[in-house]
Amino acid sequence: MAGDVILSVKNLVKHFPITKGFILQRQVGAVRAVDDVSFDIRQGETLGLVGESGCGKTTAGRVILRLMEATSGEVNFQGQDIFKLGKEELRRMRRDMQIIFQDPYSSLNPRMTVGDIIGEPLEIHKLAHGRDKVRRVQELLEIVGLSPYHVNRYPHEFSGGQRQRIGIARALAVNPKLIICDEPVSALDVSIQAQVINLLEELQREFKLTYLFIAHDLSVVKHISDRIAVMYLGKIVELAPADQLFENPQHPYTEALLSAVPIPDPEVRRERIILPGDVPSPVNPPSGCRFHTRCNYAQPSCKTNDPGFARVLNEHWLACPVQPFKSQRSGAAVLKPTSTA
Amino acid sequence: MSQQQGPLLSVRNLKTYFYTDEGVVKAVDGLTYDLHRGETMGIVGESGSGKSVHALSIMRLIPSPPGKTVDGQILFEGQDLLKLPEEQMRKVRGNRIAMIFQEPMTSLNPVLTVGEQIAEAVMLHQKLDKKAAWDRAAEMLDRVKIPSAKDRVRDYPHQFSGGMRQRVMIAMALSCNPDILLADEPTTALDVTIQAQILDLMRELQRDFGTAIVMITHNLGVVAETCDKVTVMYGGKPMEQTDVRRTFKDPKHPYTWGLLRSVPKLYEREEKLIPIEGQPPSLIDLPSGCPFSARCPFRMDVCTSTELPRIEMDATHQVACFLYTDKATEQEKEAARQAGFLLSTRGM
Repeated sequence: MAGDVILSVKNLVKHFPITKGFILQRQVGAVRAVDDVSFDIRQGETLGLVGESGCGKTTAGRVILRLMEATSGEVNFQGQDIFKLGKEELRRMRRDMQIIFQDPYSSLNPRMTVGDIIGEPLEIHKLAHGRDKVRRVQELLEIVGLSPYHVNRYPHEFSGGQRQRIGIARALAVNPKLIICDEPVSALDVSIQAQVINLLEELQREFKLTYLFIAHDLSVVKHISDRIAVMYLGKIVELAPADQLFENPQHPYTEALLSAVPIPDPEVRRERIILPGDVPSPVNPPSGCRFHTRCNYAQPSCKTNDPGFARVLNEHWLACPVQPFKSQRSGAAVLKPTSTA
Repeated sequence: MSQQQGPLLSVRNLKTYFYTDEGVVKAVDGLTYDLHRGETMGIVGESGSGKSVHALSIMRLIPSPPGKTVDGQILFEGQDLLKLPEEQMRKVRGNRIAMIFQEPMTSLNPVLTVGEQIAEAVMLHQKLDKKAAWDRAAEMLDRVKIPSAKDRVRDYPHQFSGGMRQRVMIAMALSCNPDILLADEPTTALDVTIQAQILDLMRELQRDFGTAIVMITHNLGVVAETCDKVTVMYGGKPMEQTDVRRTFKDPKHPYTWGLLRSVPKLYEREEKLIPIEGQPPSLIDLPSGCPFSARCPFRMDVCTSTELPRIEMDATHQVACFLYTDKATEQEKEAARQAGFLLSTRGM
């Protein structure tokens, strides 16, 4: 299934400065959106990146693509440090790395026809012109399940699900190796959501794509991912194979997050772990472990000590030194549905 | 749930249409249900199925023109709200029937403190003086578990987080102790951990106040956890209505099957999702018959030509589908039974 590492993120940091003053702007603080994040993605796999709003998952995706410049850290894509690339090299690199955005309404230019939208990357990367371009666009439309006759239509003539297909076709146009999917199905209705998820999976098989799948819907992420990283306040707190994360979550935050998902089965009753309060501000994150202010297992040491990020099993990484590894957490047992006779 | 008296709210054949330049949009087209005291009715459907418009119709907040409730009755304790003069309706709205909206960001007034907004409703409906109304506002904020409520009544909406704002909305809606709470996607804009907090809170308040809730949502998990009865809507029409257990365990309508199947399961491994093919219909000039027919795997000729029937499977289970009439052949019925059976054994 998964092969060599295609993308390697090391100690990635992105701080947005907060400035004061009008002419002489001085920096008075920073929003620590992404704060020391590291992970690898292997050829052909899907890595899910989950977390709640404001945890930094979208920023992480954009910094990796260099749609924003990182504060520090390193991103190696196919062996090249992309933060060191010049303008021209970066453009060439982008052929291999594409993105699909969340909102199918605002991410397509309303004044361009579908043909122009999907054809633009072909022009920019000098892959096809004129007749060839039209033919390639029509081929792409068919691949994503739209009709080749749609070439001359405008985005407003399509429904949300169809627009998302257009966005996918645009990303596919340049034959990328890695696609960053930033909440690609959150804006869609459930019946349409399933269509788009299936399409993404088919495309992955057919074109041997690698996905970084950013989303907040845990059941969608579980379905599509091989491995999942859970983010909280700019840091990854747990990283594990998808099944293992759901069956045996180790971090108290992951555990609470999973227990909060309502299950569409009226006969299942679960113990729910309700986290007190709100997520703290990333401007002034808690010291030590960032989750300690809401954690049910917090120890005095959590306030001061950095939890680190250590391997607890072959493929299972965890940022919580306090909780000893449990082969089956008590919480996980009640998370599982009990009565499906 | 006491059901000695008749239902608290009885919606009968409600039809709300919008008259636009492109044609008539039949947003709600023949909705019927009963809601009893202390009960929670889930209204499930995708965008454009008419769930929100139905709630606005009950509150009589449909902008007119272009919208108009053209037919039906909304009986609240036996009295038809659609026939009530506006002056009396104002005594019902916000007082006996309250509503919470999806967007906690846009449905609070940004230039008034939350205390002023809650107190306004209380002063109007409960005829309390200013001092008592402010005390009530603080008490309500405390009830919805906003820390240091006494001080926070003086804060403006922007000083609250999303989850806290939704709590303020709930406090405002419950401040007059309504009989019915219409909750229009109350947790959709919130993160799951905050959603869990809010659903917990709503359950607790329902227990304490005995409020009946109409829970409008597209999230099947929220339905399974909070509702007693469920109405599944599509294209403005009710497709299937029954109790929550049968909605998930013994559904009869092909649309309900499709909906349940297209949701990825948390604790099951599945190779491929089974989506509902096709696109949702345009609500302008819908064909007669079943709005789901274009996407339905069990479509028959009769589905597009005849007015959709409402079949009583039994007293508490209604399905709008020709499969359960003599219009369907034995083979077609058998194929559907198989599909329904497959779904029920598949589990969640």
